[in-house]
Amino acid sequence: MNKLITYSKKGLIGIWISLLSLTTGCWDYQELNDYGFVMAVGIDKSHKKGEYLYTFQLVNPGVITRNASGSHATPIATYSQTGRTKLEAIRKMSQQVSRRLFFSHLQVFVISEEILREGAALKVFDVTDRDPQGRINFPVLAARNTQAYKIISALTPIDDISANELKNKIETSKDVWGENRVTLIEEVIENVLASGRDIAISGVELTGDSKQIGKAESILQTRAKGQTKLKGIALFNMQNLVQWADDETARGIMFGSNKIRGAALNINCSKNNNHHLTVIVNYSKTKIKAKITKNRPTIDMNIAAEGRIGEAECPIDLENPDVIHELEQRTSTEIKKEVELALAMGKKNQSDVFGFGDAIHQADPKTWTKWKTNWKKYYPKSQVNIHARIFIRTTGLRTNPYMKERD
Amino acid sequence: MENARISPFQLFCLVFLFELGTAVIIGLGMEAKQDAWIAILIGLTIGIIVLFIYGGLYQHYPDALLTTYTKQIMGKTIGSLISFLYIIYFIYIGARVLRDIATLLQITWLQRTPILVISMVLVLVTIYTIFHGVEVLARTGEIYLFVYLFSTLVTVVFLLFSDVINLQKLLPVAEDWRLILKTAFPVISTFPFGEMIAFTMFLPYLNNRRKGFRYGLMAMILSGVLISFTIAMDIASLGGTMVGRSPFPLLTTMGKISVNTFIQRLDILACIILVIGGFFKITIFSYAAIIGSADLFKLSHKKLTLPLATITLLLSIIIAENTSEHFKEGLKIVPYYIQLPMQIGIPIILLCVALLRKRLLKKTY
Repeated sequence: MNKLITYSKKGLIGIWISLLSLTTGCWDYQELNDYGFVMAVGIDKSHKKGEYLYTFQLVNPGVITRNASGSHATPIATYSQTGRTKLEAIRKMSQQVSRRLFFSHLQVFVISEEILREGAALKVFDVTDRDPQGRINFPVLAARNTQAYKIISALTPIDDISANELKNKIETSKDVWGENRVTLIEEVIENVLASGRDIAISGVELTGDSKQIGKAESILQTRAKGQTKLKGIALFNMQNLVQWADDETARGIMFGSNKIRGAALNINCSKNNNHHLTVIVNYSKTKIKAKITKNRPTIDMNIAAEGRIGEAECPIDLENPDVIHELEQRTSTEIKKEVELALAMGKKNQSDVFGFGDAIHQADPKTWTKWKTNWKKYYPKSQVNIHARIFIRTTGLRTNPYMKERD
Repeated sequence: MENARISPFQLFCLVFLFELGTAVIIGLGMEAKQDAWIAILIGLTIGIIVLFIYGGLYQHYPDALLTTYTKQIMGKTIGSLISFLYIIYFIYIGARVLRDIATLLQITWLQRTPILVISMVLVLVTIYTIFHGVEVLARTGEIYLFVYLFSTLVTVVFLLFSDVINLQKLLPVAEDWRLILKTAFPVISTFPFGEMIAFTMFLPYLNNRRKGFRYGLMAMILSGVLISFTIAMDIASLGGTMVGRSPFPLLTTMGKISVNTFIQRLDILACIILVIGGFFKITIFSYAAIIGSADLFKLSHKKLTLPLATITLLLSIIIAENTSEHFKEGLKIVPYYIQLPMQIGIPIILLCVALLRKRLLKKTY
């Protein structure tokens, strides 16, 4: 009996050991140091017809991990490759890069304005969408007046990896200034050919000396040369970039499409003076309701925002609720004006940037099935009622500004 | 039939895991677009009605397997033929489920591993479990129910905190009722709800008949609601078009989990849900086929386990040349020509004949 037990124990151990061979996943094993981590992808026009120039920003792991300031290597390296499809370029890249490209840590996608205007550039996301390792929750940017490879070749002083810097920049700016839309790849994929909404992508341009881009010297000084800067929002008609919206118009797009997470609005202190007062917007919610009247879309856009006085460079009595009310009214008018600017630009370019089509689809699915195919004809005719209302809740740590005349 | 007993709660676990199995991970009912969740609830209702047909048969023959009482109802020749059809049906559907799971594992994590190897590893576990019988399977279900619920709960909670759910994407609600009903019947009502037919091979093991059936029903309703909820969650976070384009939307939804960019990349939970659910579905179908043939051919089920599981394995490979073919068959052919007659047609005939027989017998006495 005893012998039998020991025998079966041996057998059991044998089975266990042989089972271990199944747990290795030997076909799909992956070694970390075989991979090159791609942080940013840029797409430009290639000199060959029908091909694009793909540029990949890779991390230089040695420089990043060594954490040494004396190193001469740059923290990132960029490589370019042409190809008819993105995957062709990725695989062909193995002729240039010693490591296999790995896309799970991709932070940002930059596409040059030139090819966005021609349309059809947005088809390149398919490989990202399809790839099991791919993620689609990172932003796309449009390289404005420049090439995408230049944007992602720039070295940046504060964040080592410029892809991270670009991504952090847009996230931060969205939260505090509100003129840059964070458009994720998944939004582009969902809306690019959908009839009810057009996409809008933030722009990024070069500032400073563009010849210094990518040189280590460009960041070896306090005033870094050859940097990138976010600028404006690109409006699209289906998949073609049609116009750039800047400043107030860009913020109008953000207000209208319920994307404001924070903003700072300047208004005049009172009707006839040029002193300024800044209202900080902390919260904004936009509701779009659609209905059909006389074969014409009627849209009600309700914007409700909340904020506080951030700065008042003028003599004004902020202790008086009536003054606050008046300021609220003027800020609301300002918001309304910005949204109207954005709407006018959208209508002019047949760009349904606020998604009125989706609103009609939700409100009246039957009419929408009839309108869907030529929605772009109905869209400019839509009657839009914009209601903006901001509540100024507090005035900060002081009530009246010190500029106010004291007795 | 084995000499074994399972408790009502164990049946609950098995039904729950079986129903969720593959249904919760694939984009079930996406033909109805953003209204898929409504279609699932309607499919569930039809499934419950069908379950009562099986319940009726169980009431008349509480101690017999499906393959046994077909002979008692239809006579030896026709009954045996029907039983044989059911055995083939269970093997075929088991092979389909195996292919589903292996395909999803291959396209997501194991791209360069041959599908035969993935399927083989899954089938090995199945063989081991079935070899030990229904009691072991039921106890496994009890354990895994909690692992499964935990994974699902973690997913749902983190998803809610990730700020990716946008209920606007579920609008407009009930856009096209005809499309919803067409999706609900026959596709959703036969997969996964009608597949409860496999449990006619488990009901006789129950140690408490009334309670057992009630627990089974409860598990079915709960799992149906959970499937509907999951699909609604998928659509609300990904949008209808993307879910419609994904063979494995739950994975993409989980990929979006990002609680303050701190808790991320919980895709592995999707893998756990996939493998646990898939394991129970394959095992339950294979067990139904094996115990059915053991009953029909008067053999020990232990002898039949290896050969029949091997048939399932090979069938899962040759069933379709590629994924597109496999999915298309699953939507356009299997529900109409296989599921409907096997899940609803034959059981209704069996129940009618059984009721007639009872009445005629009463009159003669």
